[in-house]
Order: sequence, then structure tokens, then C-alpha cells
Amino acid sequence: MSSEAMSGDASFQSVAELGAHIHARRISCADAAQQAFDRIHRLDPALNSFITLVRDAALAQAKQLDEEIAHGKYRGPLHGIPISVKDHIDTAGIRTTAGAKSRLGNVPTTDAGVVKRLKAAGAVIVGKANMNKFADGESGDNPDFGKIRNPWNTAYSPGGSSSGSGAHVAAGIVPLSVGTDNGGSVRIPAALCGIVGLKPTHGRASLEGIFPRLYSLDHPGPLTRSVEDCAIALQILAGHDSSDRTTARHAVPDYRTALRLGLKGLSIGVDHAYVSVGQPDVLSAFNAALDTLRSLGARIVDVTIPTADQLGAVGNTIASCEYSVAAAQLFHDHPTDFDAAVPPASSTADIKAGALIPAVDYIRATQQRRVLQEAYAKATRDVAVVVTPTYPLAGRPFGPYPRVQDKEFTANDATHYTFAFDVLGVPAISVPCGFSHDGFPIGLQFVARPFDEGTVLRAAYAYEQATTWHTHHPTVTTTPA
Amino acid sequence: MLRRDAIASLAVSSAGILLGACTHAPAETASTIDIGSLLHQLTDYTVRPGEGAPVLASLQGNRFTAAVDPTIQPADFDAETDA
Repeated sequence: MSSEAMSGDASFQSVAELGAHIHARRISCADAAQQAFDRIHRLDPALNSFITLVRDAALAQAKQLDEEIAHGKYRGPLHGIPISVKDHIDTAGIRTTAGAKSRLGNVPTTDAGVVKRLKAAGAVIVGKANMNKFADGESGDNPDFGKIRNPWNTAYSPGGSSSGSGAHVAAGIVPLSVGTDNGGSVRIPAALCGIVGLKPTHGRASLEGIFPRLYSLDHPGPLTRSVEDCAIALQILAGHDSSDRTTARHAVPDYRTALRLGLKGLSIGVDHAYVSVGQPDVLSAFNAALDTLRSLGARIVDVTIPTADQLGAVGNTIASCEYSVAAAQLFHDHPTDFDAAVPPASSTADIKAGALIPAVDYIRATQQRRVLQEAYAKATRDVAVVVTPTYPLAGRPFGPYPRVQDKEFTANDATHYTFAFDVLGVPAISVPCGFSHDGFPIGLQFVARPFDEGTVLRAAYAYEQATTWHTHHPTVTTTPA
Repeated sequence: MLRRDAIASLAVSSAGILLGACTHAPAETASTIDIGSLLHQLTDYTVRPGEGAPVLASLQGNRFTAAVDPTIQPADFDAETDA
């Protein structure tokens, strides 16, 4: 009998479920990895969700992990779990392209901080996830490595910039991928692919060894099919890294313990003026989610947080300056790399313009960010979390955005619910909350105060367990679109 | 070109763009040349033909120019006080 038969179809098993099978030796780490490669072989021609696969290294690592279990050494819930990481996160001995063919020769000699932690926890990296080139934009359209496809409808984008991560976690290829988020790049693919994506507090997880795009806005974070798996992954990713001085020394709590505390008596804030952008199906799903939260005992409270325009004005200046610095060497070495940028990714003109923004503008923007952080803290001091939709569209086409409620839909609209919380640096999670009339997943976002990831996980878990959205999985059309 | 001259040039360029918008002038204006000079003086970049207007538009769209209390420390999160 095959190992897959013994442990059931592992395609959509969670990290927690697959980990329990591995721990009990009902499935070997090697078989878990082999099954992931079988699914990649079957599904990825339609998804284009990987840039690099590392079959031999992964299977060798998995066999070593099996030997450890045989000798009584069990590293924890990620022991033997096949995962992917976004391809701008350094992996020793594995090329790391940041989604650019000009970087095909870049083979790091050391692992990024988060990769060190994942490997130490026993995770098996099967490959590097395709992504928006240089983690820029949410189109899911990489001019160098091709369009990444949404498993729910391969004619559509999975969102971005952690596009491949969202696509192959949703498709059941791996149960965990680690991406990054500086405008919504973990949460948007999570919403569009019907999975869970967590952006922790800035400073909660290490950025060391991650291709820098926006120094003060980048956040590494997990994409999974369940909230519990997000908690498991964050437990590994979170914590101080002596190689990254921006990481906090703040204590890391036990995230799984808090999951089951429920919502009874919890105050959840809603800024109805903020929740104004989106297709009718998205806004309907959001309102239905509020009803569910009320039914679970939560108290829905009106709050007024800083506006998207206020946060966007600050964030755009910071982002423009920081990207211009981060991209300068690339731009010097490969000036044509930015010419084929797929909107809304930064063009060569944007990179050049960023270099002209006066330093006083940048400093004032960071001062104003502090003002807005304090305003957000004050506005939300009486609530545990704030809830919003994650992405205004259900189904993101490649190419131009559709009109929404007879209005132009812009790149700023696309990140209306996500970029603000990168600017504020606060933790935020997206969980599935329904489907559009034409079958596209919709995401619900919970946001909390700095370093209160435990509460966003708690709220998201309670909502997830009260609904069935997370149990729906796509059937991938295996003929490439 | 000195930095102050370059900035003065940008101010003129911006005015030119605004005027251009009023009179439906083509995108290629004197500002294209000025933004090229500014980039050359302040950065290693050059402006390619037709790129001046999008650079200027991006610059204008991404500047934060509002007044802010200058006593504010532009610090990121302090885990001890913000959590």
C-alpha cells in the first residue's frame, strides 16, 4: 500500500494533520516530499507557480529527517513538512532570483534568517516560488518567468507579489509557503486564492537575507490553508535575529494556545467609511462576516482609523524613496530589467523619480507615519481587532482592472485594505470569507495592535471554525490557460 | 548645475507642466530637459527620450509635502512602548 493511501490524500492536509502523521510515522518525510513533487508534476504546468525546484536536495533532507525520527529526534510540527519560499528569500546553494532572469546566477551561500529557522524546525524546501518581479505590484504577471495562474480559474491572477506561494498552497501542492508583504503581497494572494495569509508586526520576523525592496515596509509572513497552520508557522518565524537589528526582542507567546479562546465579549472595530471600496460581492461577504462575528459573541464597534489617503500619502513617499535606494545597484547593473514592468509595478521613471524626492519629504513622511501610528492606536484602544475586507475584487484579471460600481478602479484601490497596515506596521491576517457569484474566493482581514499577532490569530480562528469557506478547494484545470 | 539651481529648475519645470496642462501642450516640454538636468546633477541616472514627463509625474505624485510637527522623532515601533 502506498504511503499516500495509508495517510489519505495528503493534498489538502494541513501542517498540523500532516505533521501528526509524520510524528506517528504513518507517513515518512520522504514520502511527504515525494507526494509534493508528484503534485507539482501534475499541477504546476497549469499554475507556473515555481521558479526553481530542488527535488534531489529535498528528498535527501527528508530521508535524513526520517532517520532522526527513527532515532527518537522529533523537531516539532514542521518536521518533514514540504514547503516553498518566495524566490527573493535567500536559500544557501539554491538560486534566488527575486523574479528576475538577470539574477539566475545568484546563488546565495547562506540562508535568510527565516529560512534558517524553517530548516532548523525540520521544514523541507521543495522549491522557490514564482512571484511578481522584484516583489513589485500584485498583478501575478512576471515578464521574465511568465504569468502565475490562480488555481480557481487559471485565466485569472492569484494576486501578488507572493503569487506562486498563494497559487500552490491553494492548489494543495504544499501546506505552507513563506512570502513577503509590503503592500499586501501575502494577504492579497491569500484572499484571491481562498487561503490564509499573515503579515506580522514589522520587526516580529527577520528580514535578513530577503531581497530588500522597502526597508521599513517589508514583512515576511506565512501563507497556509488554515489559521492554526499560520500560528504554527509564525511560532517558528517570530523572534529576534541578531543579524537583523530591526527585529524586536519582544517575547514570542505561544500562538496556538490563544487560538481557542473564542470571540465572546471581544470588541471588533469597523470603520464603515474605510470599508467603501469593492465589488458588491466583496462588500456583501464582508457584511455577512460581521453577522457571523456577532453570532459568535463579538461586539462590533464603530471606529475611525486614519484614512487610506492619509496613509497612502505617507507610504507612497517612503516606498518611492526606499525602492529607489534598494533597486539602485540592480538598476545600474541591469537597466533594462525595469523596462518590461507590468503595471502597477514601478517603471524606470518611478525609480528615477524616487531618487529625486527631497530628503526632507522622506523624513516628514516618517514623522507623519509616527503621528498616524499614534492616531491608529488611539482610535483602536477599546477594540481587540479591526476588521476589513482584504482585497476589493473577487477575481483579479491579468491586465487592466475592471471598473467597479461604474468607477475606474486604480492601483491604490487594489491595495486600499492592505497597504495602510504595512505603513502602520501592525499585524494583519486574511482568512477566506466567501465566494463571488462567479466562484472567486473573497478574503476577510483582521488587524490588531503591534505585536498582538495572538489576537488576530484568535479572531481569525474563531471565524474560520464557525464557517466552511476554508474547506473549499479548487480543482485545477491542468491544461495551461 | 548647482543643487539650488537644479531645484529652481524643477520649480520652473513644474510650473511649465501646469501651464502645459492648461494649454493642452504635448508631453515633451522644456520640463523634460530640466528633469534630465536635475537627474544628471543629483543622481547617476539619465532620462531617455519621452521619459521626462513620467518621471516628473511620478515625482509629483509621490512627494509628501504636508507640514509636520518637527519635534516628532521619526522612529519605528518600540516594542516596549507600542505593544
